[in-house]
Formats: sequence, structure tokens, C-alpha cells
Amino acid sequence: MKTYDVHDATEESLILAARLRVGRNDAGVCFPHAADPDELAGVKDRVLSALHAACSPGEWEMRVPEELNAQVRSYLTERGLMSRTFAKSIAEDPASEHRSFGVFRGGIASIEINGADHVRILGYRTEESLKDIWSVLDPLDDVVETGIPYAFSEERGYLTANPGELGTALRADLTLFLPILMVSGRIEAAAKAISRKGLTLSPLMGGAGGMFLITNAGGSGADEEQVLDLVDTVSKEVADKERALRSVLFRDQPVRVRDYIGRALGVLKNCWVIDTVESWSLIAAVQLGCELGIVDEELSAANAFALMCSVQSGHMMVERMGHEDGSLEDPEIGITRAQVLRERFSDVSIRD
Amino acid sequence: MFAEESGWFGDAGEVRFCESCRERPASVHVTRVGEEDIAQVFLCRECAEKAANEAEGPAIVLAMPAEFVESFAGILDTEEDEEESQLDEYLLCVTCGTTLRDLKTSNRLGCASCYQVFEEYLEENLEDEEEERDLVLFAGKIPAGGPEESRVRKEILRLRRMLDELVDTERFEEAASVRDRLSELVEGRV
Repeated sequence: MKTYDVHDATEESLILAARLRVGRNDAGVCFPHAADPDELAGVKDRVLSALHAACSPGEWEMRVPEELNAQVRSYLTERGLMSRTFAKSIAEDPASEHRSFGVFRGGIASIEINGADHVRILGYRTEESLKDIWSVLDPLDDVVETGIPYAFSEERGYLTANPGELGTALRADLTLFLPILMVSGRIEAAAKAISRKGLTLSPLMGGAGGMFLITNAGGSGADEEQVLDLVDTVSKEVADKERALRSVLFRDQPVRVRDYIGRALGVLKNCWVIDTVESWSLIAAVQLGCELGIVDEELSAANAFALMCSVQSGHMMVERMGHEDGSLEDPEIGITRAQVLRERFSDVSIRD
Repeated sequence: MFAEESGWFGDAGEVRFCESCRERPASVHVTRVGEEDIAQVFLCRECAEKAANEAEGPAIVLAMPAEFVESFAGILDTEEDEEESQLDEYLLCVTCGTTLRDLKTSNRLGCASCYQVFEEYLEENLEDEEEERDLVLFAGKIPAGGPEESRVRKEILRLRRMLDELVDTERFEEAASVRDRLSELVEGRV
């Protein structure tokens, strides 16, 4: 299948990825879970013709549910182009003709039609800020509106199926690399501080490798710019805290830190089968070693994250193994993943 | 949407017909509370939707599956007061068929009109969730097809913010022109 490249980030930052999602609904049709398929098919047609009229041919790559098998869905979800809820609804009803999914300009944005809302426009980038993504989604939102009259209330803002997202109907999150906050047990305090500011901290891949998301908690009266600014500012504060803790930890616990990183590198160089969660933890440890000067290699947090993303099962199948219809439980995936990691770290060693 | 309507009459021998069109089987019992009277009717889905669309303003409409009303008719008559809180659960949006109970279980609304039907519940609960939630009016992006009034209000909010900033940084000349533009807008609205 076609893959969507993510550019390598160059900036040395602990904020690794930004994601934005906008929910919109047709004022004249019930929300997708309550409407009948014929009405939803009408919404789909109107949205598609609006996109067709405003965008040049080839900008949108639309896919019908039948084309979205488990591997493709898994790849698109890992790549941030499809939400888990939409992937789940396709899995439950693969013949749902009223649903549709499209990727915009090689992966800078995507659209879900008749998922949880009539339309959800998504953007996920590793090297850009939330505001850069909004500058892509905002005009797309205007295009979609030419097809459907938006359910909108002057007092409440955009009306959504989930009343918690009412308002801007904008969900923004940033992916942060916080291994030290996690291993030092300070992540809970951070989560509390974050929630006091109206945001939430949640683990990505179960927190493997110290990956966390900072997300705005639903809609409010605030405008888009304020929402994005808040997520941005709070994330930067948390990243600064993590950065400060890194050097302190190595100064206080040199033996334990060396041992932890050395073991991680040992496993990466010698494993023969490995799952995603374990590989994320090990890659994170080695990246930390690179930054502290323990490991003799240049590996930025951004490149470590790119590697983590590329060893997820959907990516392994689509990008490395070229399978499009195999099982995501295939043991070959773990073996290929181990091979990729062995090759990547074969020349990497610990500094004395 | 009255998704389960076929099931309600699946096994029933006698079919009650819609009191409005008298053609289709009635599937919804609608109680409409007007200013002076209370009307109770059995309607089919189509007529219920039509009635909902024709109702002016946020008329209070309580509708429930017809079968439910018939089988519990006795209970409802005699224990009306006691059952009141339970009846609340059957507060229903006639556009999409979502009940308050659905909303409570799934935390999802069925359509845009649900926001009016369940307004009271939503207001209580949105406030409870976040006590410090700033209950200001929506100030974000206005859709191109949105009300003109919203656009003006948003511009006023934006200018007020700008004015505060200019005064804080002592840029009084620019502040004066922003203030003039603001008063024009505010007057224009009145």
C-alpha cells in the first residue's frame, strides 16, 4: 500500500509530535450513531463533492471502508492519520458504505466521514507545531462547510455527539518523551499539575519508553488560539522539567543509570524476537544514554521516536514486510522487528 | 431515529394506529406540555417527527415507546408522582429518538436538537465536571454560514482583548483607535 512519510525532525526537543482533530456535524442530520445510513450517505456525498469542487484532483486520496483492512487501519492509526474510534467502527462494520476516509496531500491531513461525528479532520506531524497544523486544517474546515451546514450554536459553539467536546470541537495533543519523570516516579505529580491547568496527561503505548500525551480536555468557551497556546505552554514547561532531571539523575546514580542503559543496548543488539512495548522502552533508554554521553552514537529524541513509530506492527507489515493482508498477530513481525533493531544498533557501543 | 420500532409491535396481536395519520402503526407516545394544556397522543414515527418540527420554540415534549406506555399504563396512572423521577429518564428528543437515559449511559447526544431537549441536564453536568470552567460564551471560529451576530460578537471580544493589551503596554494612540472601532461595533449592535 501507499505509505505516508514523516519528515525527520532536526530540532533537539522532547516534544516529538503534534496532533489536531476538528469535529463537525451537519445541522440537518442526526449524529452518526443515531442517524440512518441513507441520511449519512447523503452527508458523505455532500462532503465529498465539496472537497472535489475546492481541491485539485489528486490532492485527496479517498478510500472506501472495504479498502481499509486491519493492516491498513493499524498503519494509519500508528501514523496518526486515523483515530482509534474510527478504525474500530470500520472493523465492526466493514461494509458501511456511508463511511469514507481520505488522506490529504501525501499525509499532511486526513478526513473521517461518519465516524463519531459527521466529519472529523485530522492532522499529525512530527516536525510542526499545533498552530502549523491548524493552518492546514482551518481552510479544509472552510471547504467542508461549503458541503454541509454546520451544527453550531452561538452560545455553545460547534455541536458534537459527545457533549464534552462542545465548543471549538478541537482536540489538540502533543507527544512528549518523559522517561525520567516516569522512572523517578514524578509523573503523577506532573499529571496533577497538568490537570489543574485544564489539560490531561495520558500514556502513549502504555507509557512504554516514557511516551506521554498532553491533551486539552474537551471544548470550552475559549477560542482555538487559546486552546493551542495552552497545550503548547504547558508541554514546554513539562519538557523543561524532564530535561533538568536528566543530568541530576546521572550525577546522583551513575552506576544504576549506566547499568540500565547498557542492558538496554545489549538486548537491542542481540534480540531475535521482540514486541513493540519492549522495543520502545529499550530505544528510549539508549536515546537517554546518547544524550548523557554514555552511548557512543548520535540519536536525537526525535529520531528515536521515528524509530519507535517504524517498529510498530502496522508499520512493520506495510513498510518492511510488504504484507497487506496478513495477521497482525503474525510471529514474523516480532522476528523482523528484532532484525531491524539489531541492524540499527550493531555498531553502537558504550563509552568507557 | 426510532430504531427499535419494528420490534415493539413484532408479536403484538392488536396494533394501535397513529392518531394523526391513522394509517401507520403508532410507535411513540407523546406528551406535550403547552402553556395551558397537556396533550397526550399516540403517533407514528413520521407524524411524531412532523409534530416536533412544527412545534414552536423549545416546547417541552415527553415521548416514549408506545408499548411501554400501554403495558405500564396502570402504574403510571396510580403512582404518577412517585414515578416522576423515572419518567425523566424517558425524556426524549423526537428528532433522533435519544432518551435522557441513553445520554446518561453513553454520554452521547443524537442530534443538534438534543442540546435543547436535554439543556437542563447538560448544564448541570458540564458545570459539575469542571467547577472552574469558565462559562463564557463561545469565542472560537465562527462558521461561514453561522449567524452574523456571532461574528460581530467575536470581533468585539477580539478588540477588547487587544485594547487591554495596548493599554497595558501604554500604546495609547493605537488604543484610542481600537476603542473607537469598538464603540462603533457595540452601537451598531444596539
